[in-house]
Amino acid sequence: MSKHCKQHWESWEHASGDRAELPDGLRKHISDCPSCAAQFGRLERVTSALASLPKLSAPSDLEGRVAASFGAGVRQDRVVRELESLAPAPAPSVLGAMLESMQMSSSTEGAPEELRARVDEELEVPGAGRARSWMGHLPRAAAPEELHLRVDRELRLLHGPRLHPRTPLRKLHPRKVLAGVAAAALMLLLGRTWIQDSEPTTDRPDSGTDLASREPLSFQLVRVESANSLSPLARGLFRGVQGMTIQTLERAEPDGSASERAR
Amino acid sequence: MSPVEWKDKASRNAEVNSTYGMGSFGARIVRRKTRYLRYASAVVLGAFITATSSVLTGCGSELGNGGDSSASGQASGLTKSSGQASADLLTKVLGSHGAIRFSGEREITLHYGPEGIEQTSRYLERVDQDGTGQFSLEVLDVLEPNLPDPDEQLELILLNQAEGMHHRYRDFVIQNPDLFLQNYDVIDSGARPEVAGQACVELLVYRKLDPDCVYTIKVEPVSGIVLALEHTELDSGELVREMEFEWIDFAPDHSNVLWHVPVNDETAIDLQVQGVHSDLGFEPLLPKWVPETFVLNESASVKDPSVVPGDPGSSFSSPIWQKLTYTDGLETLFFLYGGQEPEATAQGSGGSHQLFGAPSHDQMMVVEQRGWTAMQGTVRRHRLLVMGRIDEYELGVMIQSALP
Repeated sequence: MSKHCKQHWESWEHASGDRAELPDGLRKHISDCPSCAAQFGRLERVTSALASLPKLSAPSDLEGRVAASFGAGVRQDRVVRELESLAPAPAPSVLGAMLESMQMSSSTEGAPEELRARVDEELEVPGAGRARSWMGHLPRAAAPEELHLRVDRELRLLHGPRLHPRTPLRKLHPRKVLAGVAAAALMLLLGRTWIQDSEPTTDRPDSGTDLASREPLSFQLVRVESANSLSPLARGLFRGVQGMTIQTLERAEPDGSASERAR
Repeated sequence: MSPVEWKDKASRNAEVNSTYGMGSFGARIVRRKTRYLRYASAVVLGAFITATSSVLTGCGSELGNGGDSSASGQASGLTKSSGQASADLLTKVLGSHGAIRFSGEREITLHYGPEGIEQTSRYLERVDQDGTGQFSLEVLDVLEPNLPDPDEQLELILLNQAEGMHHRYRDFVIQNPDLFLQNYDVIDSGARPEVAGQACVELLVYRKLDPDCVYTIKVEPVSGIVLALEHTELDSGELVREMEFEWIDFAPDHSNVLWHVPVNDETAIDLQVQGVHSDLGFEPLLPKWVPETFVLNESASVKDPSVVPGDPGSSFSSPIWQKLTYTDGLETLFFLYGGQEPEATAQGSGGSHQLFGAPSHDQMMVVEQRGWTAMQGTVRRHRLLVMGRIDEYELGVMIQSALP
């Protein structure tokens, strides 16, 4: 757009896409300038499309909620005023008699010894008694199987003959020993070959890079079924590179909404 | 640009030649609408790609060492003249984007929809290029689906808004010729179809490493302009998109054309700057690992038009993002970084799937469609958006490699 064209467009303060509202100068310019005419044509189409969009109505309970929201403060103030205006009511006479009775009972019977001891302990080491009490309620965890095995092994070493005594080497036949050594060597060779073969040949990201030595990164991956759940920027880029629009996206979904499912 | 390596029909051995025409065969059968035939085409096309890959593997060293088209031609029994002609055509294709003056109209067809549900969007698009880098794309009509007028007008507006993105990333654009030649194979199918009144050469393009799709392009041999395209997934045999020119004029009148003007304030940035980048307002973040064959192609700052600075409704007020674009020559991979959110706005969330390591409150959403995967979310308060035609595992590792 040339500088001359720009000056005409800038003279139009309330761009609306309505040809009737065009300033005379711009209208004349558009009739002479094909480029500006094309731009105005686009603007007209945008205006027309936007004007044709259906108007959505506000939820039916919105008015009530707004009124309630404004009224909430007023009601609160009224309650506070009412409470402040209340005069203290005299206690019923029977309450005095009951208190007197309780005081007498307390002074004669006293607290149980257990309670007295706990209070003393709490004053001396605050929290210790409560901690002991809570720990006592924790479920007892079972020892891992490995621990049992290790204890058994230690006990066998300390106290008794082996349950499955090994065959003394001197009783083995030399041929059997040689055969065993040969088999072990063969297995080592095969194992090494297999490891070499199974090493990845492409530089997948988890092999050979320094990423493996980095602090593990964690994030939750939430699979969504459409780009509708992404931000407008992501959605625009995702659709743009594929040549689609939000409209096509919405038509692609049976219910027109993004459904999310945790993977 | 490295020397052009060309592999065409004549360069194949007898076994491949006997199955060749497979390019056009594959292209024909994938047009059929029945699912059965589509899967059949996938199997045949897959077998074809496998066979040709085997052959290429067998003679790859010769081609690589040869270093030019004539050498590769001699290595595979090509005559020098035919190899050179093919190489010339490929060179034209590599340089045609934006460099040829023309006007035309083309039909774009996109196949989408959830798995197993066929849905199509088809529109007519006017395209103009002035040969010096200026361009204009204008969608003229939505042909499919049949929309009521307001919806169609809105569809037109939305499509035209994405004009720049369509030109740069949706269209068959060779982003980096050297990488393209390094990472892709191009095969002349032998077919010579006519598109928009122009005699064309049909080529098949697919990635050398782990090809998951094939592009069948019909190229006007004088200009190198791609006049028709079919993008087909290899695993399912399904068409992803099609493009075909209805007419093209190489001597157009551009006096009425309104050239594209970028709207997202994209500005190239220098990533060598240490510390907070003045254009971004935060320190740039670069992945230390990207998928094999991809390299950094562009680095820029972009503005998210949906974010209004200071808007209390947005969780983070900065509309500026760092945009890194990687390419393997043809495909594009995006890594966008929006800076680190202030601690107060970091969001905890419920969730679902632990990808790497121990649990945390960080969350990324992932969506896949027609080979594209996008991941967007916040990790350690870093706002991230990555997407490309790669799997989510690789996107995840890119993120991991980028974070400090």
